[in-house]
Amino acid sequence: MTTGKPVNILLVEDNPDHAALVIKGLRSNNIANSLVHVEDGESALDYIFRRGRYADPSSSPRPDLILLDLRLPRVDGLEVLRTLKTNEDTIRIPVVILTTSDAEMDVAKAYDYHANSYMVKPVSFEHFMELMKTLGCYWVVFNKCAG
Amino acid sequence: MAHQHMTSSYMEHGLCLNWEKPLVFLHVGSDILTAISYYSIPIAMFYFAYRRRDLPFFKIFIMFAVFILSCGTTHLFAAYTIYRPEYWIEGYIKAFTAIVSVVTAVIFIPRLPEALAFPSLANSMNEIMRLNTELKQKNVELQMANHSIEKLLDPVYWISKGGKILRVNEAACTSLGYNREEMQGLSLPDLDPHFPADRWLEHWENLKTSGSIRFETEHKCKDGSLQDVEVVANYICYEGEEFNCATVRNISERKQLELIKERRLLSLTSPLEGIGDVQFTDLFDLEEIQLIQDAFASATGVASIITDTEGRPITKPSNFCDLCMNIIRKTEKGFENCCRSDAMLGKLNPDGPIMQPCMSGGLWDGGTSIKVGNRHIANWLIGQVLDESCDMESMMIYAREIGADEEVYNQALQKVKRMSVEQFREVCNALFLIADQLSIMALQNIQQARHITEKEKSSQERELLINQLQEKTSELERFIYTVSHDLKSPLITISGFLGFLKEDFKNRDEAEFNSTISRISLASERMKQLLDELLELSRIGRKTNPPEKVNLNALVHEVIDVISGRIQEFGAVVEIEPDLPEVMADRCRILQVYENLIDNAVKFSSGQEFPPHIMIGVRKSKEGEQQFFVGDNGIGIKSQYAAKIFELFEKLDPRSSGTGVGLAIVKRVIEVHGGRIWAESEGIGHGTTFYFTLPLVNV
Repeated sequence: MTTGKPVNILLVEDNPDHAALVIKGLRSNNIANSLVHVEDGESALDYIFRRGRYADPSSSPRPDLILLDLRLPRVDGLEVLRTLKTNEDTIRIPVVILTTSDAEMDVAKAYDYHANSYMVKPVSFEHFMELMKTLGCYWVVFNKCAG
Repeated sequence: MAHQHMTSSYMEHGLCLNWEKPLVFLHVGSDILTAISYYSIPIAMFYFAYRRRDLPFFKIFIMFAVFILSCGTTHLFAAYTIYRPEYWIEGYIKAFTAIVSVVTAVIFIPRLPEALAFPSLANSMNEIMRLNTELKQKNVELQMANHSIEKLLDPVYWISKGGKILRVNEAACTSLGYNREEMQGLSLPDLDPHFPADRWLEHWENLKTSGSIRFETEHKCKDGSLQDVEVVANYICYEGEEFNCATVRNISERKQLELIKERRLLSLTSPLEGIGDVQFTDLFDLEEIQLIQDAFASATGVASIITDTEGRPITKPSNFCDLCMNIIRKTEKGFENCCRSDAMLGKLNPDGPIMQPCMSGGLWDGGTSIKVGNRHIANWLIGQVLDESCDMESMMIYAREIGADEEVYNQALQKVKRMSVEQFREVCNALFLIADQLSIMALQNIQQARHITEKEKSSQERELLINQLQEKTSELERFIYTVSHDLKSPLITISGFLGFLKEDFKNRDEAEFNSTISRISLASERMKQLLDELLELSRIGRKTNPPEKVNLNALVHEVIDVISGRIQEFGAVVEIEPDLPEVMADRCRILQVYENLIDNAVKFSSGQEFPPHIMIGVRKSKEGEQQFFVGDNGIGIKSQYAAKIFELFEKLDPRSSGTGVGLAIVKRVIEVHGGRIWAESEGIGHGTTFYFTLPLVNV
């Protein structure tokens, strides 16, 4: 699987174990070539809008894909999603929700706020790895993003 | 030129006329007469113009005058040249006349349309007459309007912006008992105690913005009594001056009726044991009862009245005979005897009517009681009947005894209704049946009213319960959602890393293998802790120890002892106010609250340049509420997260230790005790203070 330029992924995940699992999973499928991990909603927005400690553009390349958890400290995942999808500069960045919650309310809300996809973290290891592989292939290799 | 001007070179005009005397006379005479009149007209015109400076077309008018004047001069010279040949001068005058006439024509003709548009005098007169008629008409209408306002049944006031009463109508004066002069010297604050001078302007501004306001208030009469009124105030601005034109309606009667209705409902619905307060008028519509009583009296021919148990009349007497009402009762002795007799009749007798000859005069009377349950509330009395066997002699003796006029007494006695004792007994029995029915109705009225209120009350209670249930259900839903999410998290970690464990083993990567193992064991440890704390949280609401007096001073010191290890570890300084009050609480739970809050304070104040400083005490709010606090000089919180930190599993800093249940437990404990808890912080880096309230021990 080769592409021209590296694909930047922003992982927003408050649970360090889950972040490690996702990174490991993607890496074993040779996908996580350029991945930044932030732990809460506020940092995610700071990164995307280059504020605070992410003010320098060279340290915060524009993400080509955002993997977003929903239950986040400080600023909630849905709030992050809403902010991104109501801002002209960020509306075209694909946002994939990756969360433990399969509550109907959360799924509906996420799509209302224009999430591009909604994934529930599987408890089984095999499914988890399968998801990482498929997700990586689909969003990083096959999917064509807007400029 | 000099030559041409020589008169002598021309001949007199008379020569042309051959100096024939009649002809010369005709010409000269006509010219002079014309000239005289031509001169007199402009003089009159100048005089007219001088007097009437408002003359329209003034300049043209003057031009006409000059023109006529020069025409006159031309004629004068025509006469003169008959005798003297001054043709040059005559020519100049003619030329002048020509110029003036041309100028007049040039000025006048273009302004002709304007002059035509100018109303003729006749038209103007007509217009004036029409306006005059219209004015008269308007005046009549105004008079009519004025009169109808003046004679309106409801009071009308015109009030200035300053609150002064400018005009009132007759009703305004009579309703409050003032005369017009007194009224027009008053201000509104004098009349309406609810609009004192300092509130008047506010009211005025309010009126100005809404245009018209309707409200209920009270007006003060001249004698100082208050009157319930409904007011419609209207804002009117006329030629720059502002007014409030208010119409007022007296609603005292309506208010009185509302009050009676309210009282009736209140006494009907008070507890059954309290039946003692129920009055006859609370149970029945007096007008309806009066109708029944009147009908009964006129059908049977007996007199009738309903009194309370003290003998005071409730209804108006029907069919009372002259003898009793106007003669016997009017004498002092007679009245005394009547009251005594009525009291005897009014005794409670549940088995049947009471019948007896009147103790005042000896006419037959009967009575029966009306009751609610077992309580006697009123008497229905009938009688004033003469039976055939009556001894008329002794009746007359009684007249002498009480000092009545015997003649009048005798006449009245003849008119008294006559009836046999048997027939009167029948009437009394009928009355007993009706009164008994009324008593049953009274009880039913009460039961019905109570039934309705109880139904209303129970439906309100049901609604309240449903609301509470819904609240609890949604709280439970939130709880289940949070719990399932947070319990699933470590499960994903465990199963995920277990999967990688196999790979690590295959790759013989010992370092990675050990790190994965430690992640798994930490996640399962965390899961255990979560389950323990959830159990704890659920226990708080279910199991409570009875509240006891808790000395907070001793309790706080106990907590400090328990966590002294952590305090020393971080080098924290703890400051405790000396006189914390006693509270009524579950001691163990409050211990838990302080432990959590102090532990939190230490945790979020460590790792800074200065040592943690914890303050524990109590403050009094403006409303006098005691607010306990635990404050620190730690990292602080942004105000928008101040409420979020109490939610289950909510952690602002994902790296901080703990599960996020601690503050949820603290909040639950305080709420179970009936108190409130909240956090205040000046922002990041400015420390945080937790405040909470608890029931105090009443001194």
